[in-house]
Amino acid sequence: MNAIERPRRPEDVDDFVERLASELAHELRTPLTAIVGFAELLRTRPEDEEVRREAPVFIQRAAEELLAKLDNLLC
Amino acid sequence: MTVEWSVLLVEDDDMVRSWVRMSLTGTEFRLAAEASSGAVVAELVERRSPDLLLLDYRLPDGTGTELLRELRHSGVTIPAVLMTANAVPGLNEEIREAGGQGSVLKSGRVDELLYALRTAIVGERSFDVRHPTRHVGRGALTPREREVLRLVAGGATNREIAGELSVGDETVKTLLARTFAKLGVRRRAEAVAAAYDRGLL
Repeated sequence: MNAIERPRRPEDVDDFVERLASELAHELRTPLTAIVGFAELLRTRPEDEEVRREAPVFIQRAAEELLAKLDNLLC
Repeated sequence: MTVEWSVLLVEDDDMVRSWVRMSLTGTEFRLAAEASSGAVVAELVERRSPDLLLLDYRLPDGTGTELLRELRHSGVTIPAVLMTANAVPGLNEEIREAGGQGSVLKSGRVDELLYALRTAIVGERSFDVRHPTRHVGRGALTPREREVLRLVAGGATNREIAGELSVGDETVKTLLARTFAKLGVRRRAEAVAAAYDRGLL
């Protein structure tokens, strides 16, 4: 996640909130869309051997990334 | 599939690259090459002669639209579709201005990706309507972005702006890039002119 400097003046709070929301959305959406995308491939192309082999691995990795990011946010 | 279109994919996340590659399996598209940053793209276009570009918007070495502008400037005319994780206000306009043919949100939906690629490859445009239209009014800029514009209008350098606002150089670059994107401009002088035109300064 790109570093975002804390606001030092009240008039900078809007800018800080806008950038923080944008960064957070980007960080969380990337693994979430990977989970959705690979799950859809598993559902629609179960006959594809590469999908059967790789999709569960990517789903697990994306879910673990998501958990780690949430843990970092809450700590 | 008898017709096969080759796609050059530029995306820094290896999971997304793998998802795109698997999504294209069994379709009329195949990956000509993959890159994780913009640095090698011009060379790959030259070597692999792809039919279509699929570019991530947030790349480690700049934005996908900056990369596309450079490619168009160097004479690359093949269709280009930009991908983003988030809906970005004004992105469709920014892509059009950079010479792109479409945008697609990384929703994880194969049909949405294929629709954007199929539309672009036949020479038509497909812009994801989930990207809000560019705002050009005063409310479009945050107070800090307006302050940066005011300093740019006064002739301040990035370093001077950083000093004035007590922020780092990278923050100034980010603020300028966002302000330019919202105004639909590429240069400082254009930003100042646009800001005066729209009553932002």
